[in-house]
Order: sequence, then structure tokens, then C-alpha cells
Amino acid sequence: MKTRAARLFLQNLGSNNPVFSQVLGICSTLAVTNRVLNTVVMSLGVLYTLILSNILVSLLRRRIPPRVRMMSEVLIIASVVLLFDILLRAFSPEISRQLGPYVGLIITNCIIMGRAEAFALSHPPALAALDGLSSGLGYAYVLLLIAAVREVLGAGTFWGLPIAGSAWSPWTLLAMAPGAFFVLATLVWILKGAVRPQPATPEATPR
Amino acid sequence: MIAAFSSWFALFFSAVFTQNILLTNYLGMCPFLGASRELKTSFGLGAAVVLVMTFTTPLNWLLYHSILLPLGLEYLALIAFISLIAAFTQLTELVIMRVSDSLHAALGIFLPLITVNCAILGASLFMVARRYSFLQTTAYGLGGGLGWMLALLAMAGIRQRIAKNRLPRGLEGAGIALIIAGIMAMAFTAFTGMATPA
Amino acid sequence: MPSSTSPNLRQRLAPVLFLALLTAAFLSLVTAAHLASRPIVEQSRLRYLQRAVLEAAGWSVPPRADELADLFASRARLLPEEPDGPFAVVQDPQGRDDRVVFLEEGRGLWGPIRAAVAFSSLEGSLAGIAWIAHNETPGLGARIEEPEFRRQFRGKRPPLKLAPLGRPDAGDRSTMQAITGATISSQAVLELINRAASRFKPSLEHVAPTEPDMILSL
Repeated sequence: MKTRAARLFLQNLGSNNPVFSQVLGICSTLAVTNRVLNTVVMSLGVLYTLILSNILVSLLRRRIPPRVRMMSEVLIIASVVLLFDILLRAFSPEISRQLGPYVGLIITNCIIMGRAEAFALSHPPALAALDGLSSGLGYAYVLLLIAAVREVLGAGTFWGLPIAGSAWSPWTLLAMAPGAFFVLATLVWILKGAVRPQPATPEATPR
Repeated sequence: MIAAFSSWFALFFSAVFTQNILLTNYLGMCPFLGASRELKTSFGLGAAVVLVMTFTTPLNWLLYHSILLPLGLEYLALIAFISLIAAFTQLTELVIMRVSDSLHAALGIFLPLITVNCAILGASLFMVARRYSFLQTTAYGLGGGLGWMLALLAMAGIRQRIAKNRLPRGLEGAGIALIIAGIMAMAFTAFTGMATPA
Repeated sequence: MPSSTSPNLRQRLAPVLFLALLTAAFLSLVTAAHLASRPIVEQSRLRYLQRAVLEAAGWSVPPRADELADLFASRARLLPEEPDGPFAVVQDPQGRDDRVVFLEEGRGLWGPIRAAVAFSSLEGSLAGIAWIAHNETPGLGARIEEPEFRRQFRGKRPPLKLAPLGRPDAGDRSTMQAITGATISSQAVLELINRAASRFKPSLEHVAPTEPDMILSL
């Protein structure tokens, strides 16, 4: 049990990482990866949603009638995200203003639905929570890496603080969305080329 | 009448090209990368997105303006929109399954996957945020779906052409698809500069 | 046969019932959170409005909420609501000028950009601009928040047009520098300023300047 949990954890960070091995769930966050701070908040939102929705789906897994399985999952995920949106608006209005509509789009992040379907439906809550945590962390560190590259090269700042001298002319292309694709592609190239992971297990390939 | 149609068409056109929801707003990326290996598959998926977006965006407009807004329930818009989309895809799949087996095989099997397509929820969120009228929303829903399908087909066409080419180690699959997506996004950024919708 | 229809009926009803229960549970949870957080959200919305109005009029705004409210109460005078009329008149920090503040909206990439636009009643030019709310992309359109971008508007005389790319012409009082990579946001800002300016011209007569001699002496 313990080793299984540990293996699951490591797999989700490494060879089975949702972003670079499956290229899932990038739509809602890719657009905000041009600033590290926003990426941290978005990743926290995804992490929180993954853990909570995984736990809820896992708790209800024996009760959900098969015919309304998708509807129930969507409902659970949407409520969890809406709750995050409401809390953010109340307690961190500045960041809520900056992220705007992207928070709502966490609902359609494929990773969340994917983990609920592929893992939470068939595992007990504790393992499902662990799966959510590790998938979320695996997601977060890849996106933070992208954000760091894009913010430093694209704007000459890190966490909003200028770090490149005034002689640095920012690569605006990297701050724009095509830049996100190029940085992610380069990252996938390096990691896949160097690590050569096993092909993802069928259980973990939702869609 | 003519003026109304021309403004409808202008919005439709910009939703397909200059404001392409996939390539200028980056919504619906997962299926764009995951299901674009073959033209045939992507045609079915694209058609399903067109179908769902064309209907759910105006339906969500009605839901928002005739139920949520009068009752002061705008904060539930997210849940309401995604529930309507999920219900619509499930019902449509049921109908298609009863009507025709071949249609179900070509198009129906993609419907459940579409529920969690960012582009479809995004279109509903945009039409509220941009305060479109009902008529404008119909243009936006249809154009947004067709634009998404167009981008997907272009991607699938390119990937089919390079399927047998030798690529650097590690760049096969997702890597090269991302680079193609980046170049396509750059091309569409130029579109945005050329024309902005009124 | 009741014995065979009732389990069948139950089988058909169970999913619907389950979904209804689940919906009710989650909707009440979300509604509770919404209601509980509403006063806080309203408060912060008011703060953003007051801050934007003061910033547009040239004040550097104190971070503390009560200081902000005090400053707003002492320097700003809300005007009666009129279609196309200004929102408030705010004294400038030097106490020499009255700034006429309009609330205006532009069509941004993701949704409306709501702004406070201030004009100098003394000089008849733009005095400043500040955002109440916007949804632009962080790092691109959201750069309209940067002080360097907002500073360029002081002293400009609308109607403005976009400055040609690559030819920064700081001396020109009728152009605006766009943000690279954020065409739609820049266009939205341009349009909202020009709309506010067209509302400012007629309202000049309505706002009686506090010290008419100063205008005469110019």
C-alpha cells in the first residue's frame, strides 16, 4: 500500500506527468503563464480543485448511478471551482481581478475530469486525494518552469521585479501566446529526449 | 434588414477567422493536440463541436438572460452553463444513437468528450462578458464552432503530412504538435491585427 | 404487475433523484458562500471605484481602506446622476484645479474595461485615467495597468489616435502609444477615452468651477 502510494506520487510527477507526457489541461492556464505570480495562483486553484473533486467523486463513487456519472462529476467540479472563485474574489480581490475569467475555465481543465474518471472513480478517498495532490504538483511545476522562462525572457522581470538591466529588450513574442507553445514544446523535447519515459499506462490515459 | 445581416455576418466572420477561439484565445487545446493525428477523426470531433457550440451558446444566452439575471443568480452562471452543456451533449448523443448507427460512430462518440471542452464553455462565458445580443450570440456560436473545426482540420492535415517524416528524438507527437500550434497561433495573431470586430 | 414495475420505476428514477439531491446540496453550499462573501465583495468593489476616481484625478492613493474612504469623502463631490453626465468632481492634489471624472467602458479582449477618466476643468485636457475593473490578459492587455502606460495620457487633448508603431512621439498631444501584442486592449482604451472626451465637452458648462477668476485669468 505504502509503496503503491509512493509509486503513484512519483509517476504523476515524472513519467506520467499530465502536462508533458500527455499534454493535457493546458488551455486554462497556458494563457496566464507569462507571469510567475499568476501561474502560482492558477496552479493552486487547479491543485485545490483536483484534490477536492477527487475526494468528493471517490466518496460518492459507489452511489453515483452510471447513467448520470458525467453529469455528477461535472456538477461536483463546477461547484468546487465556483467556490474557489468566490473565495478568491472575497479574500484576494487583486489576484481575482488579474485572473478574471480564467478561474472559471478550470472547470474544463481536462486533467480534473480525467483524474476523476480514471482514478477517483475506482479508488478510496485517501489515495484519490494523493493522486490529486501529485497530479496537481506535477502540473504546477511544469507550468512554473514555463512561466519563469517566459517572464524572464519575455518581460525581463521575475515575480514582477525587474531583474534584467535596461539594456535588455524583452522578447515580446514569448509573452504572447505563441511563445507559450514554443517554450512548452522545447520543455517537452528536452524532457522526453533526456528522460525517455515508459509509455503511459492505459489506466492513466483518460482521453 | 440588410444592415442587420451584414453586422451578423461580420461577427460570424470574425469568430471564424480573426477571433478564432482556438488560436487567439487558446481554448480547446487538449483535443486540438490529442485528436489531430488523423483527418477523419478530427472531422468527426470538429463537427460535434460545431453542433454543440451552435446550440449551447444561444441556449445559455436564454438561460442567462431569462432566468439567472431576473432572479439575481448570475453568480451561478458557471454551474448553469456547464450543466446545460453536459445535458445537451448527453441528450444529443442519445438521440443520435437511436437515429443512426453510422452517424453515432462518426460523430456521436465524441459528444461526451466535448462536455469538458474549454472552447464551448469559453464561448458561453465570452458571450456574457461581451454583452452580445441574442442574434449576435447565434453568429458567435456558429462561427466559433466552425473556426475551431477549421483550426483542428488544418492541424490534422499538417500532422498527417509529416507523420512519416523523421523528427529529432523527443520531438515526436506532442512536441512537434506544439510547435505547429505556435506557428499557427502566430499566423492568426496577424489576422487579429488586420481586423477587429466592431 | 406492481412487483415488476416498481423496481423498474425505481431504477429509472434513482439517477434523476440522485442528481437532484446532488444539485441541491452543491447549490446551497455555493449560495451560502456567495451570500457570506457578498458584503466583503461589495466593500472591495466600492474601494476599487473610489481608488480609480482618485487616481484618475492625480492622487496617489493610500493603501489603507479607512484612509482611502476619508480622502474620497474630503476631496470628491459626487454629482447627481445624468445620462452622459460626469460621475464626480475631484480636487487635484495641489488644490488648484477641479478634475471632472467620468466613468466609461471599453470593449476589451475578455470583457468590458471599466475606467475612470479625469479631465482638467482648468486646461480642458485629459488629467488622468485609472481602471475600475478589466479582464485583460495578464502580461499583455493587463499592461494597461502599468504606471508608464497610464502616465502618457496626462495633458493629452482627445480625440486621440494611435501613434504609428516604432515612432514614439512623446511631444504629440493627440496620439496614444499602444501596447505591443495587445491591439484589442489598446484600441478599447483609445475608444473609451474618446467617448469620455465627447461627454466632457458639453458638461463643461454644467460644472461651475470653484474659482471662476482663475479660468478668466488664463
